[in-house]
Amino acid sequence: MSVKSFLPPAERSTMGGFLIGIVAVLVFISGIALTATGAISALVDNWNSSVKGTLTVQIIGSSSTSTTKANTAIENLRKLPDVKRAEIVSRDKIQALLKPWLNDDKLIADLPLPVLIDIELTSPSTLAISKVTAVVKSAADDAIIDDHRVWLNRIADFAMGLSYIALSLMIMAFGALVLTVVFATRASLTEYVHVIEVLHLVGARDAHIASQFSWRTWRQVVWGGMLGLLAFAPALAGIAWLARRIDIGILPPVTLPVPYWIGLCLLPIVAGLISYVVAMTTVRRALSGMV
Amino acid sequence: MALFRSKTKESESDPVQLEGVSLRYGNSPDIFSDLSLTLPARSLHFLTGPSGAGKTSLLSLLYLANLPSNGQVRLFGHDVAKTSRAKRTTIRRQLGAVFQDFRLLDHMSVFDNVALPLRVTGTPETAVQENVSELLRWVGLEGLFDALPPVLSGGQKQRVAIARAVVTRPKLIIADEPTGNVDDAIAERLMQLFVELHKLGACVIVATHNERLVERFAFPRLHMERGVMSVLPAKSPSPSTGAQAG
Ligand SMILES: Nc1ncnc2c1ncn2[C@@H]1O[C@H](COP(=O)(O)OP(=O)(O)OP(=O)(O)O)[C@@H](O)[C@H]1O
Ligand SMILES: [Mg+2]
Repeated sequence: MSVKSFLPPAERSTMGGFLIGIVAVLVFISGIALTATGAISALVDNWNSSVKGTLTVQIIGSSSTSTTKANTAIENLRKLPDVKRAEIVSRDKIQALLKPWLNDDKLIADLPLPVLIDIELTSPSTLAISKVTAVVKSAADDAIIDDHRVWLNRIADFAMGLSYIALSLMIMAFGALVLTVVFATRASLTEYVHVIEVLHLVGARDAHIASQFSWRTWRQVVWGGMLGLLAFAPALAGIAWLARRIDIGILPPVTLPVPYWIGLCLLPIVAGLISYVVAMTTVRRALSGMV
Repeated sequence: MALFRSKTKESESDPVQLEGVSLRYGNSPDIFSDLSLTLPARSLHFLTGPSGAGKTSLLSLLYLANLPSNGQVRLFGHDVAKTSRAKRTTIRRQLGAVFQDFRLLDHMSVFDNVALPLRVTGTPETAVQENVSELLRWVGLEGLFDALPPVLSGGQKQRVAIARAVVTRPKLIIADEPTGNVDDAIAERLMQLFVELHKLGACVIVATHNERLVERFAFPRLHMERGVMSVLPAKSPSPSTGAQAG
C-alpha cells in the first residue's frame, strides 16, 4: 500500500461515468474526422503528383509517318498559349514503361509501338482541351486523345475542397473534445469538494490532493478514449473496405498516412493530458479557496 | 498509555495565542471581537456558552478553517494569516480537530478514516496499523474497523472523529462538542483520553454544553456569551496552568 488513494471508488461516481462516456463519443467523432482528413488529403496529394493537367496523344501506324505527324502536331501545339509543354515520349521511355510487364528486351524492341505525345496544359479548361484536340486532329486525324487525367484533375480539385471540409470538421471535433473534457472534468470534481476539504484539514498537501484527483481523471479519460477508439475500429474497417472498392486502376490506392495513424492512437492520450491539467488546476483552485 | 508518549522536544512558543481577534462572516456583524487569549502547552480548557455564541467559529480559527477578520492568531508562534500555505499545512499536522459535524469520509472504513492523518504524512503502514488499532480499541470501536461511517450511530461516529483527531499525537487538540452524542459513561471515558493527552503535554480545548462534564473534571473554563469571553477558574484546584484572557 505505497500510494494509497483517498478518493471514493471511481465506479460509484456518476460524474465519472459521464466523463468516460462523453470522452468515448468525442474520441470516436474526432477519429472519424481525423481519418477522413487524412485519407482525403492523401488521395489528393497522390493525384496532384501524378496528374498535372496533362494529356496524352497516341498516334498509331508505321513509325516514320506517325513521327512526322507527331512533329507537325507538336509544332502547332507549341503555338497555343494554353500549352505549357508538348513533347514526344521517347521510344526508350515507352520501352522502359513496358519492361515490368513484358520483361523481354527483344520482344519489346520489335513491338510496333505507337508514338506518344505528352502535353501539359497551363490550365485544364474545356476550351483548352478542345483547342488541343483540333490542332492534333488537323495534323493526325487518327490520333487518340486521352484526356481522362484532365477530368481526374477536376475530381482532385473537388476532393481538395472536401479535404478542407474534413479538416474543419476535425478541428471542430477536437475543439468539442477539449471543451467537453474541460467541463466534464470540472463537473466530475464537484461531488468531491467535501473530500478535498477533509483531506486539506487533516494536513494533506495541496499537490498531494491535486495529484490524486488528476491521476484518477487521467485514467478515466484515457479509458474513455480507448473505448471510443475501440468503437471506431469497425468504422475504420468499413471506410477501408469502401475505399478498396473504389480502388480500380484510375484512382490511386487510398491509404492513411502514418502521422494520422499516430494521431489516432494519441487521441486518448491527448484527451487524458488535457483532463489531467484541468483536474489539477480545478482542485488547486478549490484548495486556494480554503485557508 | 504507550500510544501517547510525549515528544521530547517541545515547541518554545505557546500553542495558541490570540491578540485582539475578531471574526465575522461576510458583511454580517462580528461574532466576537477584540479577543485575546493564550493557551499554553500542557493545559486543558473547556469552552462553553449558549448555542450560537461562536464556539465553533472560535475553534475554526484554531484548526485553520478560517482566518481572523482582525487581530492575530498565532499557533506555535506562527501568525497564521502571514505564514505560507505550506507552513499552515505543517501546523495542521501538529494539531488534531474533532469537528462538531464529524466530517468523516463516508467511502472509507472506520479504520481508514482514523488512519487518514497518518497516511497523508506518509507514515509507514506498520505504524499505522499498530496505532490505529490500539486507539480504536481504546475508544471502544473494536469490531467496527471495517464499517463505513454511514452505518454508525452518532456516538460511534463521534468516537471515530476523536480517534482521528488524536492519532497523530498532536500538540494541540481542538474538540468541538466531542461528547454530545454519547452517554455519560462513555463521555467520561473520552474525557479521560483528553486528560491523558494533556498530561503528556498537549494543549487541549474542549467545547461542550455538558455542564456535568465541566463540573466532574476540574479544568478552567472559557465562557463565551454575546461576543464576550470570560475565563472561569476550575471548580476545584486545577491541574492546568490556566489561560489568560483579555
Ligand atoms: N459559515 C458561516 N457563515 C455565516 N455565518 C455563520 C457561519 N458559521 C456560523 N455562523 C454564525 O455564527 C454564529 C456563531 O455560530 P457558531 O457555530 O460558532 O456557534 P456555536 O457556539 O458553535 O453554537 P453551537 O453550540 O450550537 O454549536 C451563529 O450566529 C451562526 O449563524
Ligand atoms: Mg458549535
